[in-house]
Amino acid sequence: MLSGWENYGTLLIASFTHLWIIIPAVVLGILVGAIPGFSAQNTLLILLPLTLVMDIDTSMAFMVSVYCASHMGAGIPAILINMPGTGGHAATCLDGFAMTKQGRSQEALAISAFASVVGGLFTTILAIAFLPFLSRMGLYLHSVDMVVIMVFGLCLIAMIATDDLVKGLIAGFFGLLMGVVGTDFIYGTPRATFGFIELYEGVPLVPALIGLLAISEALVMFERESVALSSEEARQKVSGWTGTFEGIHQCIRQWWILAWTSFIGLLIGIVPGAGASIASFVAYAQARLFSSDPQSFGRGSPAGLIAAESSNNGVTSGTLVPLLAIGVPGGTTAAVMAVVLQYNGVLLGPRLFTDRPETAYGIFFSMLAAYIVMVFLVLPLARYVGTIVLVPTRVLVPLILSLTVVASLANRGYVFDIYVALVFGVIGYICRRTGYNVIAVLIGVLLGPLFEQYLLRSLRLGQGDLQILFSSSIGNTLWGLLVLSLALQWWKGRRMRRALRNGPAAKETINPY
Amino acid sequence: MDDHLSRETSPGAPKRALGADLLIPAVAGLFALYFFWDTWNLKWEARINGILIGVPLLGLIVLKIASMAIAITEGRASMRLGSIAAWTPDQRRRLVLLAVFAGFAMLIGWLGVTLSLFLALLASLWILDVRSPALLVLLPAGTAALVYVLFIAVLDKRMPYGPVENLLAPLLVGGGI
Repeated sequence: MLSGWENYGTLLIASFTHLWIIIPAVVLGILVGAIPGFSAQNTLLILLPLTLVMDIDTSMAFMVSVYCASHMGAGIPAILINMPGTGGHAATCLDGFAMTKQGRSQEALAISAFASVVGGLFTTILAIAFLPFLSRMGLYLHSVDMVVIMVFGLCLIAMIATDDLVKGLIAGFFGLLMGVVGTDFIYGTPRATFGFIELYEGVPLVPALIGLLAISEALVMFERESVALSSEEARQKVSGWTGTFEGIHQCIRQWWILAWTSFIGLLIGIVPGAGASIASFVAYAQARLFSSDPQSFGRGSPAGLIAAESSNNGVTSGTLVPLLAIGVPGGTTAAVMAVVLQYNGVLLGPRLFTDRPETAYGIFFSMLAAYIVMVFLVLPLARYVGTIVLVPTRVLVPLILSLTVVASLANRGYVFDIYVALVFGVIGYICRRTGYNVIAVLIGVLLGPLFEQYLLRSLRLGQGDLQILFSSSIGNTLWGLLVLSLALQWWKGRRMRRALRNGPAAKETINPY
Repeated sequence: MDDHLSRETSPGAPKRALGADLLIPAVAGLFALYFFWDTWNLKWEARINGILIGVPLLGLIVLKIASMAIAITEGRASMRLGSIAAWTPDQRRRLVLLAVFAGFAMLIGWLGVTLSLFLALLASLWILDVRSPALLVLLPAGTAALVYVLFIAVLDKRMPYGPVENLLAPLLVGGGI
């Protein structure tokens, strides 16, 4: 085990000797994060031959830098054009894009960068301090609990993102059912594939993400002159540094939301498979729950954006904890890292901390260095990147459509995926026009395969008996909380509708997303 | 979300147009029924997930239809589709844009990604009333070139080849730069 400030200090200094690789890795990570379909794991897989020839500390510094920076980069298109680079940034769209429409893109980008970096730094420090303890957390959760967590997460999204609970739940369950399409995990039998062999692996996630968010948004966007509702106002706001300073100020002013939600990200990141998609929505719901102005969420609330972005980056530290401590990768990127570590003869698990503490802790110190580099690289760019909202939509929309259909093709190389993106684009467009939340559909599609895995594991343990789903104390507590939340939301919705009928002023209370 | 469109009201018709609110439940319901039908004869492990998701989904749809029926019988809403089915210039553009990119998918096998992207982008700019010759040529050409360099030359992604890619293929040694 590593102990003593001198040892921590030595490792921190050592991580800065890798700046030559961290800086280009951060730039690369931001770029690949911002392009849908170019996830960090795909980039790391493409560059695997390169990382295998580096020494272990350098390759890990490179990989964690790409990973952390891609998490931040994926927030940029989510804020500017409502197109998250990954599913984990869907929550960023809620308030980030709303801010852009108000001409506050620079402020939103600064919040995203600052919250990501501070959230990442904070959770990395926590991970370093409590690594052995945190690593045991994932062991307490069983597959039954994971099923409940996912249902809970999905219902939470349905509740947050729409003013009509039934519509939100229909959207979420519809997404979840689409996520189950493809061959089943045990017998490999195709289900609901409409006879398309391309759907045997399930609904392709990148085209679904692109269709539901980017294409559907583009189909609505061209009705306006520019992304921002008032282009003149937006022009004034992006012309100076005011937005950047305002964004930083908002993060500092709401520091407790930043700290709390990034901690949520860390905890959820530790649970293998849970990931940023769940973390960002749980954190968003928490921030909204404790907010003095919950109605502003979804309408350009800085607090909502802080919660989504800081939790996203909190996940990055959390994902690595089970990998290093028990040898179970918390996500696909961590799985790629596991390959590199094992290739270099590093034995993952508890012994790693006694045999090679400099490698175990060195990874987190490299992460710390990457986040520090990001502050200086990304924050100054917010002003310039934010000007994209000034491009007229008649130019921006064709560009978005062209680049996103190519991105949907790039992931698997199937032309079929372009049709999938277009079909999901139409579904997303109808959802937007009729008040069914597209993000709930998307999260359902993302969680579908994972949900099935955990559900089948639980049911096989219970020999097909559904009562197994109510056999765990953690799970039962969550079921109880879920029922309570749904009842509360239904009651609030009923009160709101009654208020709406009584006076037009009450209409302001409706969440516009 | 365009909330005003789902709950639109006009001076002449104070009732909310709720017909469009049934589109997603209809698609979702039909999909759930197709899922049940397609997995009917499979082992329980392959069916159970669809049942556990599909049954609550159908229940929610019934709930939604019931709440709409109540609103309609109370005279607060109508079954009109609202603006989603209105034949406006924007609606026409939307459909033509979708047709252009469906055409892009159909032609990409013959024309290759670079040329078909150039044509699709050119067509969609024209549909959205861009008439500047410089923009109409440079933007599609620049974007197609960027896609070629990034996806084919640098990353060596599996993209459909056409005349442009075949012409430039000798420049790429070993499949990528």
